[in-house]
Amino acid sequence: MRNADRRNASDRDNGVRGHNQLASIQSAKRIVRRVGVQAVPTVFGIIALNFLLLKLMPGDAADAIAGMSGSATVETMEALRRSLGLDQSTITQLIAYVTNVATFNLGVSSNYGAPVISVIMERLPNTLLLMLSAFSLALLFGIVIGWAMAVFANRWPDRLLTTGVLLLYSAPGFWVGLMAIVLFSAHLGWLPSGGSETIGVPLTGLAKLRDRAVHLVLPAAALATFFVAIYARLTRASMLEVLRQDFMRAAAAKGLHPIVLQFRHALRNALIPVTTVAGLHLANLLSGAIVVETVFNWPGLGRLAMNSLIARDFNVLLGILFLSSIIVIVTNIAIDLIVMWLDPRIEA
Amino acid sequence: MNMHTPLPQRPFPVLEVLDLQVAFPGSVAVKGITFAIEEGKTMALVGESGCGKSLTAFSILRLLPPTASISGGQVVFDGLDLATVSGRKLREIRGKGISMILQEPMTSLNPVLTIGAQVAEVIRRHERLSRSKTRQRVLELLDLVGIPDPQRRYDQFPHNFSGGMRQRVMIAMAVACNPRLLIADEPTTALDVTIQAQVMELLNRLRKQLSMAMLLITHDLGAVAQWADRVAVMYAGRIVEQASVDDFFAAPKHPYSRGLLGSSVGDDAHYTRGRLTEIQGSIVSAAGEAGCAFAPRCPQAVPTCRTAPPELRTFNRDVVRTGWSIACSQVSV
Amino acid sequence: MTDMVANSPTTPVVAPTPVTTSRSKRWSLPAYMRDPFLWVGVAILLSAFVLAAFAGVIYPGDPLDMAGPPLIWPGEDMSYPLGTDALGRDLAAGIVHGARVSLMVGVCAAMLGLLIGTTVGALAGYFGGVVDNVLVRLTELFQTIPTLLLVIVILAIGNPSVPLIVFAIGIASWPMIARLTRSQFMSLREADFVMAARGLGYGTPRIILREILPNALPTIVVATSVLVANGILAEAGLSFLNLGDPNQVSWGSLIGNGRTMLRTEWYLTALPGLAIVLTVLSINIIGDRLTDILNPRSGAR
Repeated sequence: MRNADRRNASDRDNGVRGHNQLASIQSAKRIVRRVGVQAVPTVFGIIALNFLLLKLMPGDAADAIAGMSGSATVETMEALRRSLGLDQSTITQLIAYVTNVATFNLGVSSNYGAPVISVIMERLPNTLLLMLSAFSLALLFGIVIGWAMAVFANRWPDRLLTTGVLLLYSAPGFWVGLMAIVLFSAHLGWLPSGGSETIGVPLTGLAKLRDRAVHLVLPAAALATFFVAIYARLTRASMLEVLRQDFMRAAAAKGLHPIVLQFRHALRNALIPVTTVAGLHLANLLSGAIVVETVFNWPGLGRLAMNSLIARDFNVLLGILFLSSIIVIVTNIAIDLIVMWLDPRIEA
Repeated sequence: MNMHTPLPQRPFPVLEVLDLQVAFPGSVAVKGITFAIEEGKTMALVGESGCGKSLTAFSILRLLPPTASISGGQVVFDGLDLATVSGRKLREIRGKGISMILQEPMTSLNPVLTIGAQVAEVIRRHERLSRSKTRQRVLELLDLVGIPDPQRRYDQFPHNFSGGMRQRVMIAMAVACNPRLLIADEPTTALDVTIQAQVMELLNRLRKQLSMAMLLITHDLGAVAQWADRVAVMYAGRIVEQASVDDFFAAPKHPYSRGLLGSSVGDDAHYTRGRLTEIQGSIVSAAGEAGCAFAPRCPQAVPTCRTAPPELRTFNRDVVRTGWSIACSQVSV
Repeated sequence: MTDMVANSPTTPVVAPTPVTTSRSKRWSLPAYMRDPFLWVGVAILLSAFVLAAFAGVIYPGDPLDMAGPPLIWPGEDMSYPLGTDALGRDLAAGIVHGARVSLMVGVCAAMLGLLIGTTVGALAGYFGGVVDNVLVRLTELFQTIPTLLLVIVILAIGNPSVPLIVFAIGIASWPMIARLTRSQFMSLREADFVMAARGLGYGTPRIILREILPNALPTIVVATSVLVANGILAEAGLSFLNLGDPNQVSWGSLIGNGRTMLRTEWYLTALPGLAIVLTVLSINIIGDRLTDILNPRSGAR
């Protein structure tokens, strides 16, 4: 890796260090620009959209509160509305809404009687765990499979893997999860069929970790299947493109071993487009997580969303919508940074 | 093709290509060529686009495109046949015994590694030097090929370099381990005219300094005249003429060679003096020719030319590598 | 440097092309037509459409009606070839009727997404500048919001019905087409034929619709296949979650219904799922072959 040469700190002189300082400043500028110009308007857009959806919801906050308390007269409703600011103009309400949301004050859940933010935060880590595990699985297997497909391009291993990948791409994640439960849980008994941990048995330390991991396997795998296909196809195309390049032949002419050629030269370049695109699918990953959570009774945002839908708990629904979008934006920025690190050609 | 018997009292050539054939599925692109390169000398392989010269160059180190393969012949280096030697042995020779520079400097370097790392890579592959010694060596090489401020440039990436500079980096990589033979595949075709001369001069200087032989693939006859010792002309996958550069430019014998020299712009050319002499017709797919591939365009062709490919006959010496070889039935010496 | 050979002006220099793969550009039986996968895919897709179209003829009546004894396994009783569920409903009838909703929602949602996406993308790509900036922000907005969540929220506002689901999925899926169309238009608007059209005095709408769009169409058509496939998958997910129209049967709802019997009568979830997989697979195969036809690249099959 190029970092091998960076470790020679003793060999470097000031000129070289100065150059790297300049590069860091440029990276920082780029991050600021990315966040300021792209992320912030998007966030405001989402908040505005949320507001619009809130207004479209049948009933309003006053109805919800009144509903909770059982009954209300016309006068109490009016007083309630005035106190909630619902009699103000739409613009004023919008500004109030934006300020609230921007400070993460997402209202109160009519179903749980608690602040939306805390209701969501209880379950958010579980969904994040599921999402990120599936993402890592998908990337890992996708890249390995795609790499294998490219190395054997157009020969029978490639054709076989292509068919397999196409199958993965065509199966709904939740159905794969269900079939996995039938096979691994009902018939083979290897893995649990639901939940994120065994309840009723207090576990600590390594045993607890193992228990959580065992419960995570099937849901993460089910969620990952669709995306394995995407990343495999992408890696294959990217590798084929890279393997055609002149610098591969130049590197081979140096007498390098094929393994070195594959990893240090080919994959290093091929992974750049893959990482760039990986971020685009995070929103889909979250969507898939919602369905998979239902299949496996996973205590995350998905189940919360379904419950809130049934209970007409709009504040929670919109809160989930908002926070998921924030998660997507933040992870996208993180991925951007990784791509910037991988590809030295990207400069501010 | 003519088989030759090596005479023991002559110095052995660095590289001998014997009846080399390169094929794609469905066609043969290089149809059996034979030549040899002497120690420390430059052999130029010329021909127009598509004649198979680059394929010949690639096949020496077995760097052919995936669908092509060596279908016959030998490539003898250091007593080994590179066409059939094991992959492991071949990789030891690549970069150390024989190295190569490619045509397109803009795409011949890995974009995500620093150029210092890329030059160091070939040194680390073949020699056991400490980290700091390797870096030292790389800096020396960068200086040798004329890259200013090597300390700073070491940690930069290919996109920070111009085409000419990148080609110099390629040359540094190629000479890093003192190879005995350097294969240069059209090293200056993709460069600006002003840089071309500089790069060729650099190559020549290094060649003399390091006592390297060079195989120069080119379509630039001017460069051949200036830098090469021997020249082999290829047409449609075969060598049609092979001679020392002095002999060749004084009086080429093969009708194709004569056409080439006649059609290049000389010092006294002026548009009022008349058209460039053309070679009529165009290069055809080399696949189906029964006779001499050049016959359809040859001013001296006779009916027999179309029925059998002409033998490569050698004059002046009885050894292909130093004599004058011509593949034409109509030529006599 | 001039090439060595100056040919006579009338004959072009043709480098000998090595005759390699069987992929020829002549139109006599091109390689893709000899591909068995493609024909299998087409066959499956056609059967799905035929079944959906003639559902009422093949299995008349409401598939949600009880048809026979409950929990019969497929193959046990040939009058219920795919078995029955816990309420005695014929699974085969369910699958045949379910094809209707699943296919229709998938196709219609794709069409809606296509319409919105191409409009947004074309306008953004052609006009550039402020219009482009605004539309790109809009596209990014919809791409950041997780599809299913948006659909759930929309369904919370209204009542679940097939048109609403089509609308919801279409709204959530247009960004991809928009990006594609935008990049196509951005590169095509610099083309010579566009300049020529402007020189002839053609108005903007005509240039967009009659000049550029037909050229961008191949890429868009291929992307549409992905859109349809994803639409079917999205609908399946929605009806699995009981967010679909309660009066309609779809493959997703069948899976959802069979979930309670998962451990024992797992065929109730397996078979409708298989129907989804086969249909979406055939769409993907066709889409892949279309990509090969429209963008032939060496070794990128």
